[in-house]
Amino acid sequence: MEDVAFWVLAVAAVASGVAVFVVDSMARATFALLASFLCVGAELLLIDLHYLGVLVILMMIMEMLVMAVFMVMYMMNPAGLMPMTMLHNTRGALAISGGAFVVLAAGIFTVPWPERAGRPPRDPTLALGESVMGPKMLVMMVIGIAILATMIATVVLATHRGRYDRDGAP
Amino acid sequence: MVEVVVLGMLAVAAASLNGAFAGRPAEPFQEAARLLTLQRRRTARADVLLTRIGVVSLPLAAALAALVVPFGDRAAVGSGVGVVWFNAMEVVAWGAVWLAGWGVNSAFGLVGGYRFLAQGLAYELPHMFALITAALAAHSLDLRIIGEAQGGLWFAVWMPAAFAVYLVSALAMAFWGPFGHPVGGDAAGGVLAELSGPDRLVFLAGRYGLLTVAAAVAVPLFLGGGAGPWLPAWLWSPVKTCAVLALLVWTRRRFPVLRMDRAMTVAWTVLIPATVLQMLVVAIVVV
Amino acid sequence: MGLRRFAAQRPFVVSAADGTRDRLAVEAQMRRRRWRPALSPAETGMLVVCGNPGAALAEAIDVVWRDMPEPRVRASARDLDGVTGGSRPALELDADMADRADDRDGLRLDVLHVPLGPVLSHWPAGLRVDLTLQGDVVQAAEVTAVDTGDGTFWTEGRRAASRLDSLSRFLHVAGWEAAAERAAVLRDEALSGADDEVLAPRLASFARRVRWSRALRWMMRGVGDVQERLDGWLRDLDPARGQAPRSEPLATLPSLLEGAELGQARLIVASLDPDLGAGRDG
Repeated sequence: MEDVAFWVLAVAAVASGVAVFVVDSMARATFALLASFLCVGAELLLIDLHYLGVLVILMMIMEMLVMAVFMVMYMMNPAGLMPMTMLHNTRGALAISGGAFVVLAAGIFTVPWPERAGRPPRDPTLALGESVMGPKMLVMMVIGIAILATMIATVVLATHRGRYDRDGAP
Repeated sequence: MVEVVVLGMLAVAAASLNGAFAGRPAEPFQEAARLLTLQRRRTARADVLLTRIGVVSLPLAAALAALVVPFGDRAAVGSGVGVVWFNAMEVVAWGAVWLAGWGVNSAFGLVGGYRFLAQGLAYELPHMFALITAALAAHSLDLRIIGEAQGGLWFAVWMPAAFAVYLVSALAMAFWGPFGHPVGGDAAGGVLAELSGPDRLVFLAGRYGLLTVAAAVAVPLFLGGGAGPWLPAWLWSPVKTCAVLALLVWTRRRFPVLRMDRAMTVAWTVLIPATVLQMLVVAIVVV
Repeated sequence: MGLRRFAAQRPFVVSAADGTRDRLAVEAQMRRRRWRPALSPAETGMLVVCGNPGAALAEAIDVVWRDMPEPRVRASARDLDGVTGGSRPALELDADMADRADDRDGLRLDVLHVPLGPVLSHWPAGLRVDLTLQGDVVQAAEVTAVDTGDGTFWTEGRRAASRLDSLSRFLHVAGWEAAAERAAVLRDEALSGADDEVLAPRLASFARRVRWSRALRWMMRGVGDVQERLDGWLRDLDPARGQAPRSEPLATLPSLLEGAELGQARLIVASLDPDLGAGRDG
């Protein structure tokens, strides 16, 4: 049963990934990419990594919608009146992606994969938290705050009066 | 599964209460009958596929979120990461609303969709911090465990800022009442402007579902879950849910709509610092 | 069909510039039948036209009528049950391509041309404002009086009712349905010649409620002179303190709208609430 689900999700992930380059509207491309990510998130749920799986689903939806804001707001025609294509510089892109595929596929066969040691932890969420945050708590916290501060500072610096001529008072 | 069904009935009750505030308690049923017999209209050059996906995703997200809501200590799906799952399903609503607004090819729908994205992005961070604060105090992301961890003292009592921010941001996530600008009357109904017949019914049902689930999750997070005298735990949860839900529904009568070009500032300058401070206090107390 | 008989109607009400009397009658009847108005034509199959639209407005109404979902019913103030409409002609496709222009932030953005009115809910009858939008910010606006009347319904003796009518529209636009409905009820009471001793305290309590709403103040702050106009209306509800109405010419509207967000633009128009029934210069 799990095998069937795995393959269905895997095929759906690849198929919607392909769809990104086939559809002719920015909105459809964005949501095809999202569908692909959601399938990957569901695969993680399938191997009992619940926290990671749900997190991938959560973050990818937010990310794709932010992308929708940034990409589509510059072409504010509802429902994508103007057809567009996701393919540019096809020949170069084909060479690069073909090369990347060959290198990665070769890696699968040439890398000596390690044997499995130990067993999955009882609570993978806890184990994940300890391995990420345990020894490097300070680093992670500092990086987190730095990213948030950078985001806010960038936005503040980028606009000198706000989009809506704000009167200063909130 | 009975929990999900009960939450569905509470969603209908919420719609009925909203109608009753204006003297029309039968409104949800009359509206359902009206919309079911009304043609589903298509706008010129609409992206029908994306619109349909958006319309259907909204109630679907609410139902999936309802799966992890515990009544007492029982939930339809006993997930160890219920808090994150609930939040993920709320974020599905962003996609649903944006798709429904974009897909119909109308300027009003599009503006409504973007309003909701701005609102969602601004209120997601304080919402997340409020969720995490309760989880932090209970040392768990499991809604059932968080509910049981409040023996004696409800989280709403000793983390009031997180509770208040949760309620406010839950309204924003369900674009209800003062946060109804994405479907605002100033844009002819915004995202709803071009949805007709059954599409509209499904979308509106999804919104009530989302509001109901947000009210139901407040119970294990902040109101002691199923704890209470006389009644059994599985009954206390829906009773408390009703109280929270009635409060949320009432805000629509009480407040005008807040425009995000203004209200976003509050999310960043008041709600986020408040929740971060609250989290700091909670962290110091529990660790 | 049983289901259809159980359903409450939700009419989409359009008023011509001379349709104020009809519109008030329709709104009163709808309140009696516990019907609610639709915000957009797609929401319903029922269209109610108030007054006698001129050629230009009639054409705009026809476009909306053609697009409404079936079963369609077209009604008037005299016959709110209406007559069932005929079948629909084929949908015409006339979508304009978006063009681009520099926006105020120095970005090159698509430009969207969005007409507000003349067929729009909670909108001054007969008015049309053509907006040039980038995102949701108004870059330019052009104002047209599509439909005009030859004498206003809102004579000096009906001043309080007139202010309540404007307030009701404004509060709907501001998204405060409960207060807007209350304003409409009070308006009808004022028009029906209710006893001053009964009405005055009700008006005062309504004015207090609106004036004290912090959320409403917050949303109005810095949006043109919206707040001053609203306060003026609320003052006018008190017969002892009311002043003669000051009318602002429509020509000033475009300059007020430029740079406003769409929601703010709606508030500005609602706060001016031009009465085209009074004639071209109203």
